[in-house]
Amino acid sequence: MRIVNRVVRGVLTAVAVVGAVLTLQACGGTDGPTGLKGFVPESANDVGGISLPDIGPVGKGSERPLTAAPGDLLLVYFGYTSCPDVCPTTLGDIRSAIRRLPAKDRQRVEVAMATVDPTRDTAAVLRGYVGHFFSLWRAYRTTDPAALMAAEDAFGASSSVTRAKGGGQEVMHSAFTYVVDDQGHQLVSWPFGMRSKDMAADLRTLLSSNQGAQQ
Amino acid sequence: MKKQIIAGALALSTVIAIPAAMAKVAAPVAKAATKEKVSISGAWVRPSMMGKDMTAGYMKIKVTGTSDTLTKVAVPMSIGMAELHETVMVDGSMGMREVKQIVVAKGATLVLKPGGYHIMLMGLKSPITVGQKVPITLTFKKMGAVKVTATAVE
Ligand SMILES: [Cu+2]
Repeated sequence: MRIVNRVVRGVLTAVAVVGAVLTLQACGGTDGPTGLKGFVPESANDVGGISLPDIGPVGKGSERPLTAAPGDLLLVYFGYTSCPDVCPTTLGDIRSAIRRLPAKDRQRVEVAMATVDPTRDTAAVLRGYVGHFFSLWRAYRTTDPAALMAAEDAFGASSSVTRAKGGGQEVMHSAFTYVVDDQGHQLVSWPFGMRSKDMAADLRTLLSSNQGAQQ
Repeated sequence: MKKQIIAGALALSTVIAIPAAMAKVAAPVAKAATKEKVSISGAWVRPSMMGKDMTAGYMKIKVTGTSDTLTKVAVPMSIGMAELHETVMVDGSMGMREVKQIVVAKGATLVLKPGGYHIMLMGLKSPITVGQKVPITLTFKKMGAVKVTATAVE
């Protein structure tokens, strides 16, 4: 049987040796001066000028900036739906983090996934995927590679989709989650493996410091 | 997540007979001095996402009494196909690659978990839903085939 949708063929096959319990270092983020658990950009990283088509329930295909609603936070993740390991883990962790927040704060956090694989991630597939995880969400999808790259550059993200030997696609992507405010400032970014409890702590810190802006 | 694993997965974790092991057992009984064993715990798979014919499975594999090499993973054809994969980070980018084999040292535990080694399930014939049991066969160089049942949990 041919697997059309297969993600990665063994372009690089490897022999691995396990000597002891293997652990992927979860997160290198240290508590910065702000007390945030994730990485705080050294210089203000402004993504306010970036917009992409949002095919989610609110955007319905219109170009929207990747910024939060007034007084709220937007979590931005560049990924793809044929990703069986990293993406669902991260999105699941984000969901858990949001669930840890008090109800009134949950309303102030929106999650945006931007697909790095628009060919396979059709609008319907992407909507179903992101909507499965979150109640407040956006799904950014552009078929213009230059627009996607410009957005990734602004965030410090990157991705590549290459045809693999077996006929499938090989996708590489930076797996950070970026927290953005209503001004388009990238406040903190979370590496893959960040614990949901730490994400929630960051969200609480940021939401409380953003309280004034909301009124 | 690990805590939600159904106890059945643990109960099923010991080695199950296979031709290779049978041959060993057929030898004089007195030989059973070394306790070579592969024990598997916490086996789970992520339910497949809507419209996606793939997902991943994870578990802990403890090898005692000998070192051994995991060479193959398989699921019944009625479910789909399986490969041993590793998520890797290259220049800050994450991707996956197939792994042909994994050597596990004596007494070591090989942990398959998100962001690392995983059993990639592909070409799923039908969606894997929460609570579903997925039989997985792991083949080791020395111990032969070891069967485990993984449960689908969110
Ligand atoms: Cu994989």
